[in-house]
Amino acid sequence: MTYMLNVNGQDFEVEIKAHETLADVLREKLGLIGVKVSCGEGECGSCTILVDGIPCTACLMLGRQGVDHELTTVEGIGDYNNLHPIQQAFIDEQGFQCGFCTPGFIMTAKAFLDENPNPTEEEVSIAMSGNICRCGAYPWIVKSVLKAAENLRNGER
Amino acid sequence: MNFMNVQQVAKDRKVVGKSVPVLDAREKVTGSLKYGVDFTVPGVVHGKILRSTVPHGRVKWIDTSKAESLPGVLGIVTHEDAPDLNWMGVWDNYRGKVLDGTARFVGDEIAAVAASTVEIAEQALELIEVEYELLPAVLDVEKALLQDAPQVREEGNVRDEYVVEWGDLEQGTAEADYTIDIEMRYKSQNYAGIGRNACVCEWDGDRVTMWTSSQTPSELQSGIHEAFGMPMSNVRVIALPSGCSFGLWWSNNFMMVTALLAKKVRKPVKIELTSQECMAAVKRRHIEITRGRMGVKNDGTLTLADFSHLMDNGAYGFKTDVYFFCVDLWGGALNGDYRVRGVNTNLVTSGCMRAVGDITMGLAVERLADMCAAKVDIDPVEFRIKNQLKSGQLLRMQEPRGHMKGTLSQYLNALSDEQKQDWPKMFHLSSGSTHELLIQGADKFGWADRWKGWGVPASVNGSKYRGVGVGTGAHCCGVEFGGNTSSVVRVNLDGSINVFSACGRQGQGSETTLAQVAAEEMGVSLERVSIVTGDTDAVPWASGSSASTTMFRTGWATREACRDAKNQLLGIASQEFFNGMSIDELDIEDGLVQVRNYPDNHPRIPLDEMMNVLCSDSLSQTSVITGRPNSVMPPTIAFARQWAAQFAEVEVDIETGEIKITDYLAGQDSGTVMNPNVLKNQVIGGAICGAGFVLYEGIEFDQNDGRILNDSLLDYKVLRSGDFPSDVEVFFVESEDPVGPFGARGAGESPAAAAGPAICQAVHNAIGVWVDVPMIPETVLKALKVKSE
Amino acid sequence: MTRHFEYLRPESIEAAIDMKVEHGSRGRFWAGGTDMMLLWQRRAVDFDYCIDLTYIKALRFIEMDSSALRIGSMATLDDLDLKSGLNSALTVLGETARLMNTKQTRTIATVGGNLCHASPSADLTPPLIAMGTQVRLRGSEGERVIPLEEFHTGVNQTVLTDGEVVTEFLVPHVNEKLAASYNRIARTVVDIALVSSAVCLRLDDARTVQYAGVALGAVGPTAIRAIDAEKTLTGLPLEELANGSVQIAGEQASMAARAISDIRASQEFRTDMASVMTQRAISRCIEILEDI
Repeated sequence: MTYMLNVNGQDFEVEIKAHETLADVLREKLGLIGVKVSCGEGECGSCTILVDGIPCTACLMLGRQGVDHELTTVEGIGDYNNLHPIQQAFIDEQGFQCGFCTPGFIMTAKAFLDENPNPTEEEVSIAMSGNICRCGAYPWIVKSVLKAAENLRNGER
Repeated sequence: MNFMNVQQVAKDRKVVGKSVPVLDAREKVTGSLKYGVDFTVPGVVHGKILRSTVPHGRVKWIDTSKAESLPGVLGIVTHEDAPDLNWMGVWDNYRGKVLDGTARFVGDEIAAVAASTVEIAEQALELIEVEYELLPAVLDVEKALLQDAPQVREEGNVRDEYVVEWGDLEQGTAEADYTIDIEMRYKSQNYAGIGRNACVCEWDGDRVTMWTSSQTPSELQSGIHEAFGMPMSNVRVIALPSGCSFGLWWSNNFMMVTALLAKKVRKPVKIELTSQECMAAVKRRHIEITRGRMGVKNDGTLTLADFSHLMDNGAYGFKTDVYFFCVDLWGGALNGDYRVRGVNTNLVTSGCMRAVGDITMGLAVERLADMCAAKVDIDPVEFRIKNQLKSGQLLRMQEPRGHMKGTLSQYLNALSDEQKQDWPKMFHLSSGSTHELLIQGADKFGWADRWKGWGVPASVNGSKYRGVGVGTGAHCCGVEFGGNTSSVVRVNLDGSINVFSACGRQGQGSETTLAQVAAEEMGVSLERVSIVTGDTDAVPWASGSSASTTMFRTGWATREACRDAKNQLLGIASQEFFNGMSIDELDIEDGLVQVRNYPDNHPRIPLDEMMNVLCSDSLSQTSVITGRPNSVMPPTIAFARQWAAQFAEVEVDIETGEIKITDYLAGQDSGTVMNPNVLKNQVIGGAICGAGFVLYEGIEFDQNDGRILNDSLLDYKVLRSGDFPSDVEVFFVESEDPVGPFGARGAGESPAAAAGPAICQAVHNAIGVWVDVPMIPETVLKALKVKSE
Repeated sequence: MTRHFEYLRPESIEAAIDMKVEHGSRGRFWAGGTDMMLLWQRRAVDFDYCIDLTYIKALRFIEMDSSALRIGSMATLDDLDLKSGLNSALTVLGETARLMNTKQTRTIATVGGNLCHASPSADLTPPLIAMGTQVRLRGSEGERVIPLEEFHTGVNQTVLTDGEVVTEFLVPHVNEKLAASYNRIARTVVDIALVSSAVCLRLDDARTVQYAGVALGAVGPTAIRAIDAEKTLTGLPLEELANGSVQIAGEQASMAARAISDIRASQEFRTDMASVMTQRAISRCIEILEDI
């Protein structure tokens, strides 16, 4: 059976089996490999997407629970030729190493900065604690988010 | 060609030393970089592995008929399909057959199914029936040493002892004013890498192609050749970027199982590992036990360092040594004896994880040295400065001599005159040490004010006690006796270059830093360099990213390959444009071929114009310039080391045992820093890995069958952002290496080794007791209780 | 074991109950799914119909009603965090929610789902019990309201019958002189509780402790009310609490604990820490009440 999913501003008719996770549906049916699945149990945050602007763990949601919501993945906030200020900030401060956790961090950061445009370093560090970076790039992730906040406050996009 | 010439002055460098963004930055932030789990090929089918439920058992019979008749199942492999050939993983981390009908740990690979969907493959697994003849299992490291222990493998459980020794232990004991003993037991650390892995494999006639996340493309190629008894020319590995690896994704048996399955069904097969499989059924750090004794004089001289170390190899590991460098770190000890032994158990395979040996035994050595320093009441920074190796001094790790042809003097005599002139003094530390790191670090950290004495807190606030600590770590920069290095560079007609250097892409930025080496040597901008790191059809065999090899050894080879290509180019340029001038007087800078030092008086020829010359028939040259190293790299294990010194402040709640890291400073001496942003990230990444090892991490094994009980991140606790200070400082002491590319050395592992000691010492100073690791709250309280009794 | 299920999406409480009654034990409510998804994937549960409660707007609310705080069962943990400022009860519930798992899981995990999963270490249970919370259950036969401490009967076990759904939680007296505090021991900043204690103190007009709730987490198959500790604190004037009663209550909390040893912590540690956590919670409540 197919259902309508609104993803990154577009509507898609997608085949969804009842037990499929939203993360797998987005990855496999829509090719959105920016939704990265690692622990698969809600600990690492790699699969973080936005549901109506709210950060959610896609590997714990049913595909059907994505219906009738606006879903945003990392592919929806910027692309190779047109980076979002948060993505640019992560490059400028090198807020990553292997990069696997990076899309998840960026989505968490997007939702966080939407609510907290002027955070302290401590607030950022706590807010980013829902995502795991096993490579240990945390100080630079925090710097990236602070830089992104500054860029956004200065009116970048 | 003189090694020492054309070593550019630092300020003239165009690319080396610059914090350029890593080459795959955009792919990473947009989520478009493909890792193993993201990769697929047209027509792929899906594989799943049947895993043993017993720790030790022979497959009495296995019935796959029901599974095979499930619609959608394409084929099944068991030990009956596997070649009777042992293959060896990188650094002896695996030795065994692809499938051999004997289960040696709970989770061991027994069979594999290929089906049109993952779900059908999973269902098929449930339909395979297998009965084991149960064999006695040994789950304890020390029990496995005993003569009558169940033998995990046909070669027996116990590997040869690995010995590093110097001086005279009796003399060392006699000269000591105090001797102190220690025994430390370490839990096994889990890689717990974000990113999992998958392997895609396809046969085309007798040729096999494998795509998977791997740090070691060449070694994986060798492994397939060994496991299947096929020529290397028929094996193509395309190593993809990996998630956080720390040594997990090198050559793993599940990759061989994928190849076996693909060979049988003659379709491309993808086996994607679940998080649980990654955490419990591939590899882990060894369980290790260190027993040691150090002797110290009242003036702080270490007279004796006597350590014996046991590590378990799990079921398929085959290591004899851990290749630890705390031996050299504390090389000032007058007399020493370090012995390491590996032993197999019926637990999941164990092998090298970041800073192998130095994060474990190194911690015991640091702690025992600290106890000695405390005994004679000498500040730990001073004590390290006094007893740690300085550059130029004799290395204590002389064991690699055993790998040389003949004696050391025979080996050295056989060198060419040039090599004799250029090579650093063998078995002496060529450059770098902890000396400057400790002095500068202590100054930056404010050590003199914050240090209040051994076991004396820096401050007390209710139940919260703060303390400071310093720790040091060392490691090698690649070990040639595990494999060689090479690189190939191709200059294109427009003067841009393609570099082919084998390495991993696990976040350490090597695809970028090697490109920086190439750009600097060739005199072109980084934009004109394209690098291939993972395709064995392109890269010459080279040791992959293990043992902190890549910058030092593969970087050296990359530079030499570029030097060779450049010399070829300059030779042609000399004839065509510079009236036969010696190539020593020519150079390439900013993509222009020119005379060195007097560019304005002479022509400057753009590289593409130069390269066009090759297409004319007046020279009868080939149309392509290919460079490769023209000389042999001196054996790096015989002179090169990397050093780390880290300073930590912790806060301990003495009512609950909870520890928080409140301040952190990391110093690194890895020679020239190729890319400061990349390296700072590496240093702290290592520190966080080491912090996890001493604060929270530890695998729990089931007492009855050895299965891993905490195989998920819910109960295998890794640090998060809020667990480590955000405003850390990293500083570098760049003692240029005489051999490394532009003076750079390796850096991946010593930072992980220095963190544990720094944090443990800080805790000791805060609360007055040494705490066993991992220092979870309960363990801290236990130590405090013992102290008060 | 079937490895697929059918998905049903009721838009009202009645519809959800009807579906559950129709399918009995072959139908399971699915709230945020943060527990159900893992139970399903690990084959710890088996069912044919998933009844998704997340589209029932009538179950997702946090509001005041005369003097009781009403929390709809489908309010998310993040909702608790975002509504922290509403009153003192929500301040502690919001603080507690922020300790639970991660932000991006809290946005989908629900209060009802969490309490129905009935993990012995669930962070919300002790503070809700300490505050005297009641649970409203609705089934095809009607409704019933029971104290939260009677809702859990064992590890992952509740009194819910087939066909019943939790509709809301009622926290009483929240506009009175009330303070609550939840303290726990954990390892990294994201963790479940190894041991925890929640205390709620309510003063009368004479600033005497009219009500004391002490509830311990992760020291038994369900949260435990430390009745003796509560008795020690009840009836005392606020300014006398610090004269030794805090320590006594702490010891009594340890004695009420029924901890076990597992891979996370030992029985001894949990029992000892029950006292420390209780004492810290009481001290925090005293601090808050001194300012009211």
